[in-house]
Amino acid sequence: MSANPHPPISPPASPLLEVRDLSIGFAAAQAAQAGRPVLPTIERLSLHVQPGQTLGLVGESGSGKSLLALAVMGLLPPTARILGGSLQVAGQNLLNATPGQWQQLRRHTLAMVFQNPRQALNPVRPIGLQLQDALQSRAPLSRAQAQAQALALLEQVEIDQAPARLKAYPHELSGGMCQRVLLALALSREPRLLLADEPTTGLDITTQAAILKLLTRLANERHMATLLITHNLTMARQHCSHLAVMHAGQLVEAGPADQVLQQPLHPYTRGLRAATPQRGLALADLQAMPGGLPDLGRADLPACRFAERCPQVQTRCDTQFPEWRPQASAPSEALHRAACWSLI
Amino acid sequence: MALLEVQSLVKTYPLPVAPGQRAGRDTAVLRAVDGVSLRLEAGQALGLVGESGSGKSTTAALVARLADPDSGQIRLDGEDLVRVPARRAARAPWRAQVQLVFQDAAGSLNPRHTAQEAIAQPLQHLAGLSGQALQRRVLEAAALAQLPEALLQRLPHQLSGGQAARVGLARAIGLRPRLLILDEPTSALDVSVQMGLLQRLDSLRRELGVSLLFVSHDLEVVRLLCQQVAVMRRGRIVENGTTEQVMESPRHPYTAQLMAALGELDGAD
Repeated sequence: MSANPHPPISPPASPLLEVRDLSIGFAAAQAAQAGRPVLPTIERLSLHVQPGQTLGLVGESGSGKSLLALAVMGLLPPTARILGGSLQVAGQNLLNATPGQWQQLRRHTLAMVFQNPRQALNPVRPIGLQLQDALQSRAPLSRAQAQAQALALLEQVEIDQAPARLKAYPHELSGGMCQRVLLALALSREPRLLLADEPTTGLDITTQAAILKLLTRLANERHMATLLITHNLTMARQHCSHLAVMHAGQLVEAGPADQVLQQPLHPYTRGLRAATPQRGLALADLQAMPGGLPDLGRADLPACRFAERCPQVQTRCDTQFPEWRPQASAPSEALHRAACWSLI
Repeated sequence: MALLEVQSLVKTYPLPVAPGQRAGRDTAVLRAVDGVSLRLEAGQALGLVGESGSGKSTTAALVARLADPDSGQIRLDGEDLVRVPARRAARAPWRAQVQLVFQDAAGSLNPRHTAQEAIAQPLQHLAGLSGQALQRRVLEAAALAQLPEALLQRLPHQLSGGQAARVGLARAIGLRPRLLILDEPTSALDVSVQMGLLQRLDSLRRELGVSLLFVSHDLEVVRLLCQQVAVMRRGRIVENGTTEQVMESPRHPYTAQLMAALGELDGAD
């Protein structure tokens, strides 16, 4: 546990994670394309997460959700370039962080769980030792102390027969149990911000529910902020207080989860909602969304990247990204807002 | 008579033996499918639901005759499908009647064949078509799966997940099968794409009278598409009935657990 008492939730604390106007692109891999300007994959994205808050980041696959999480963790692939904007965690600017500072952040402040938990674990090392390695990397502990703490972590993530599991290899555990181990590894950092990238995709539906319940409980108990990346709106609604909706690398809507889902402002959010199965709706009541994500390498990409799929498209959508409405002088997570010309 | 009748299907796999021991008659076996019986009427959709390891995909593979059961019967319109062993089933006269759509759409296509070639193959081999007649049927299949013609010359890696899923569906539907077996065909897709594919499957069922055996772990999706549902656990069917019966008043605790795991987009939890 952290030695500091938890900061009060109100009056407004400074955000734990603050992303401002962040643009990320990929340098051309092929020599033929070298020298061309790098086009932004993520374009001028701003969002923030308050201490203890759970923000759901939703959108179709390919919309840049995982890329953003990797940027926050300092794990961008070598061809990725930060083209502008700022990225701060706990007041520290990450864009000019040294490798040593990144290591400190990933040992004490940030942690991430991934979609394929088995692949994220070392296949040839028992999980107990993997936990001990993680614990000993951040504090000088004797082997017995590290083992005791590893066991305590496995118990916190509700693994059955935890003492016996310390010696298990990842292949001896189910997918759900591997995800619990990954969560235990993340908790060993005592992180202030947990990034969870589709943590339950690929797991059984009953296991999904159990893992998310566990995640929510641990986040509450530890006052740990969570950025939950998911393409499942129902899951986002159940586990997140706030939502940010991304389409093709652009943030299009944000606000309290209930408001975003019950009175969506942006046509993209409305489209996602209309395609999501829910009780009481038959197949004919649901609507597939036209088209797919645009090719982000295109030179003639419209300013609002949703324009070509949008039922309410206007001529200016092609040339100018819309202002956020309603506007606020200071960013406030309580404000439900969207970027769409149809709102102006 | 039902279109598909499955009776007391059993499939076992030997469990791994300890090092130094040899597999023998008394080697422990896993009863992956343990006495499964199913009925599917023509033009209906049956959802086969359960968690990973429950035997639902093995059951689908047995019905699709990709594997041989240890015992039990599979009848399509009264014809015994088990009589032809799985290794010769690719050439069985009923192969065109029973077709499959896989979960990993892009991964189940030959990476070096265009969409056009992928859709043409079953029509060439099982319907003996060539030339203009083949071309006509390929276009027809693409239209049935709502695959734009412009995509037909693309290779699998040039297709999005949703487009690859439509190639897989066009390939299966081109032969106008009577039974389509779908193993988690939409679980890797975004909702925006998933809904279009589900609606397409539903119209194929209603317009062409294709019966669907739909394997999924997601009851919410099964509810949208299927009139009947069978819930599997540990190789056995623990509950079956109309989708409404099973979902409104589940009898087996496991079904109730599956229902409880479904969230809601509106209202309180």
